[in-house]
Amino acid sequence: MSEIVKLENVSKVFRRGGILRKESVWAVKNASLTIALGSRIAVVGESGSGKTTLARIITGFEKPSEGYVYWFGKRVDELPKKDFEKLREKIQYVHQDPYTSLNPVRTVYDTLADPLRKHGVDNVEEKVKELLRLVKITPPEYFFNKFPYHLSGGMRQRLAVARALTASPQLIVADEPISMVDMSLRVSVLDVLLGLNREVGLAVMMISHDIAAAYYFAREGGLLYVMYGGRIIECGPSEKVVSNPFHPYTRLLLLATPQHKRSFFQERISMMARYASAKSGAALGAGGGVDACPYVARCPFAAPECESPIELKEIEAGHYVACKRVDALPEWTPPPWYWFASKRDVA
Amino acid sequence: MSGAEVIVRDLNVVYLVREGTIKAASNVTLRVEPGSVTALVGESGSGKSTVVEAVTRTLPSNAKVLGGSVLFKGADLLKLSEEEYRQFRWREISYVPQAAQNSLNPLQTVFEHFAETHADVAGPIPRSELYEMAAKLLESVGLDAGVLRAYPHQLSGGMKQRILIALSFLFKPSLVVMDEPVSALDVVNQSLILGLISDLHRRYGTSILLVTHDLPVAGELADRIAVMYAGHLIEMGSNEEFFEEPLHPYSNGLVRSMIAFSTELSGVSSIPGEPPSLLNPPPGCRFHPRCPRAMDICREQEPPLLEAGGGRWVKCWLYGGKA
Repeated sequence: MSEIVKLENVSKVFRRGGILRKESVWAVKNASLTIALGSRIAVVGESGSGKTTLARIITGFEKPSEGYVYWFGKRVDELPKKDFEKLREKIQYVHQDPYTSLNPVRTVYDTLADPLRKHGVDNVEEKVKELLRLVKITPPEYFFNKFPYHLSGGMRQRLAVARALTASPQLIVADEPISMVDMSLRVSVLDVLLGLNREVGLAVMMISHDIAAAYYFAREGGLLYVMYGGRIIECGPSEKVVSNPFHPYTRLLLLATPQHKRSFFQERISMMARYASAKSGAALGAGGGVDACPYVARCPFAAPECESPIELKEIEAGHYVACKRVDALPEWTPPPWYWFASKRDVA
Repeated sequence: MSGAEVIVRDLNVVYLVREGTIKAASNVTLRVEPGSVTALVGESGSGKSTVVEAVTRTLPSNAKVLGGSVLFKGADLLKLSEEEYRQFRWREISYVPQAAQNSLNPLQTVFEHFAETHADVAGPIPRSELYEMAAKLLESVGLDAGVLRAYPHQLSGGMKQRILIALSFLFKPSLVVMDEPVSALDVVNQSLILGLISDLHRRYGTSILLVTHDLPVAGELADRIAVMYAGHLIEMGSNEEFFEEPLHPYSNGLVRSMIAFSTELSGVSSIPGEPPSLLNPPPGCRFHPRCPRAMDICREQEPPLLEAGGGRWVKCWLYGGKA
């Protein structure tokens, strides 16, 4: 079995409101994806796009309203409780906020040693050292007796990753692991997650609202998923999604990401304007029916057919897009500030 | 009305807390050139908000200014009485604080915010006149005049931030201070608002002091970049030169840790170690425990802010200076 997790047309609806008025919010709609052993996936989307709900469904914290979740080939809703708990350990979730996810009265050593003992590891101290080295908290002995408040945000987040590793998981799902970490330390967290994938062979899924960080994580061999309004609207090998994006929202997201050169600023803003219509004030997922393209209210290329059910279609090898107007879109050339665009010119 | 110069010189601010004194800004010297956009860059806890709160006289009550001056239009803002500073607030210096969206009064319409601010600063004016003024300002931030009748809860975060930016230009001040104006917004709104700030700057020629932790944002908008680390201002210079060749080892690390589509990702790396506690900052240069090029003198003596040529300044012993 080479799949750790498989989602089959998974949807999650939250109902809110009282007796008189009930409202259904589709946090995730019709998501299908496979997480293979040893794979690397980045999920990008703004707040409210459904990326956290997706992660919670994958890790078993949330039951889907529709569709099926498979862990190691077994349907999760049919698993006996004991098997569910056992398989769940293989799929670990790392919380966004390293300031609240660690127990403040436990030392670094105990944070890792307690769960290791629970999992019946013999050589606890050796294993703690190994895990700390793996997440680049070194020298390990120096940190044994430190408490979380002694550590920077980046280090706390790496400790949270190490704690997730105590269960010897096959998959780590890290939800916005860098959003609360200082910028000079963000790379250290991403590099630790990358190392777990590349060197240890673990499957790692990272969720982020920052498409540049998502690309950094998924580049060279990883997959990039773009979510909007509860839908996966584009996915594929990260290089393809970033250099040849199709969905107008993916293009908008790429163009909305600040680069650092003043000379390209005005050009970036005007390029971005092509993909966000004047109606850009429309809320996330506003307009259209449940099955319509969630971007229809904001999309400058929207047409009546965008109101009918959408699905992901393969547009080039492994690259899928859920857009009915692919043929109506302007041709895409990588923006001139892209590092690899300027490199191409040189070559 | 055009942009004014601000010179912060040897500013020292501490916070008195139960555990001791936090040296949040130590010997900070900073210049905002007239009519320029200056980005004050740093990580959380580096003291950038403390500096702008000193300039705008909005420091919290447990903060104490131990010394230094803030020169603006011939006055030292730190020496003015509250009453004297009122002549500057809004008219000459306006301030858009961090998470400003929450600073709108939920019980007042947008128009009432404009009316109250105007009445407070310059006395009331006829409703129709103010309405016209407010509508024009809102138009310049891409909002319809209809928004004037709205209450804050009817507006999105991006709209609220636009309103506060419009409000900060009500008296066409010569300095607008913005603390993280886009950090609470989604990327699309971030870019749109950065575009508006740039337009307003071009239209009015106002000096803008922009606080941000986001290096790409600073790079896109600023004429000059000033970097803070652990309460010290460690480098100041023109935008392009800064990114081309950051002088201070910390600036260099910061630029190299930047993840953007405009950078070569294979060269990205983080700065080892972590920022120090400002209750007990290390002696000498506060970056020396993390610095790959630290020398003996860096551990003992705080370097002065040295002129490095071409209008660039750096607080680092690598660039000379006498002990």
